[in-house]
Amino acid sequence: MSDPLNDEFLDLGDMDFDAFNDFAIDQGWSDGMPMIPPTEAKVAACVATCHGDNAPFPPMSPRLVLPTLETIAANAVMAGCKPEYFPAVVASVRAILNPDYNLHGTLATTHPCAPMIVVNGPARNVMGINCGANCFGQGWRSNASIGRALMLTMMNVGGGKPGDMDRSTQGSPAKYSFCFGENEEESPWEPYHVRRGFNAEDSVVTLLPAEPPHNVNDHGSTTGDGLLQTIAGSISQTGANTIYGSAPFMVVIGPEHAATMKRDGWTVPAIQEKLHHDSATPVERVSKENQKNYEERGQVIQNGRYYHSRTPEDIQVVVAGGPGKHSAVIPTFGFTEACSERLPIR
Amino acid sequence: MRIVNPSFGRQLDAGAKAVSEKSPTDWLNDPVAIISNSKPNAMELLQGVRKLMGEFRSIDNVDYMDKPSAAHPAPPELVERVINNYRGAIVALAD
Repeated sequence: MSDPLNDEFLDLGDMDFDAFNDFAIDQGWSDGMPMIPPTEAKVAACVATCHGDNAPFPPMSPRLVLPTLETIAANAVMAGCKPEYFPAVVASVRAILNPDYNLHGTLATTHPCAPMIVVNGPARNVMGINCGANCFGQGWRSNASIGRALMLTMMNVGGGKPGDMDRSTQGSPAKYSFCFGENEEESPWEPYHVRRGFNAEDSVVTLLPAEPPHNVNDHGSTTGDGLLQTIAGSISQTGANTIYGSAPFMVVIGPEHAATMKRDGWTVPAIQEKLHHDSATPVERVSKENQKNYEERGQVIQNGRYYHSRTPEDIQVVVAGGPGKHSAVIPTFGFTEACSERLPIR
Repeated sequence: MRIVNPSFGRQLDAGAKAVSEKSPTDWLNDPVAIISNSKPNAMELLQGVRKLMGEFRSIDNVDYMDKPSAAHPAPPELVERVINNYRGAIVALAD
């Protein structure tokens, strides 16, 4: 006899909110925080926002089952999404299912990476996504619930349960939710998604398997050169995965730092070029044992350094945050690519 | 209250069923694949396992193989090779 818990719909009788949450924890559906019951009506309201988005989903690792819009919506409802957020969740699911993202590797790894969502375009304003002060932090329902919906989908549909098929040694707070928008209005440069080939009017999510943001505090430097030296030093850590698996990672420049760089004539390609070289870690900072390990893995030493990026273009530059002299470096799992998807709405 | 099951997913056609219908693996005689995930020290660990196996069975048909990258899933060719040529697999998780 088949297990009724494998059915698409479940009749839970007269279960109330608290009983539902106890039941959800028993089923392994929860991230530890309370969840909204995914009633058929609430799920249908989400799915209706993606009307016409009929492209099938590929199988989701590690469980290798095929997601449906309805099951993704069930996780979005549980996460607290309003229906109008759902297109960002669907686009994010499609992005992590791009083989270049390497979803299976990001779950099987002991590294603490979480799916980081960067939102660009008009949807940021429609959904009320925080791109300014405290953009990585608490206080915005859209940021919190969109990122959470993706993680719940990965757990419940994909089977990436912590300690089981999500093998992270320590995990990270980013595994609850990691979603923010680019502060396009205060960026002195073209929006990130336009630099990636989309139209400015498109709404786009870009995903990377990432560590939480590492802060870059620089109140002292008053030139673009000085600020970039500080950022390069923050990238150049010996414990980063990218030291032996060069790959894309993100540099999130605060608007005040960005304005200083722009004043001094820095373009995004010039920033990428400088950071690519200046962030490479000198060999003498790396233990002898790790030097041997990296050599066996084929990581090449160039100019006496380990490069964290394969090319300058690997460095994903966005502008986000509010007032203050801070930027952030967001290291990644490595062995991945930045994957972008247009939202199924304008 | 009727809900949509948040863990529901449509099943792929399961090729694994055919494998499970074979007779149980005879670990004392059947060919066994020893697979490294290519993490540091994985192969050293597996060499020890193969040596220990040699104390109670022939290891002429116990073969090493490894993933090209520790950070990526095993490629389909490797999985096919194991399915078609071996009755058991020992995988190192060597972190």
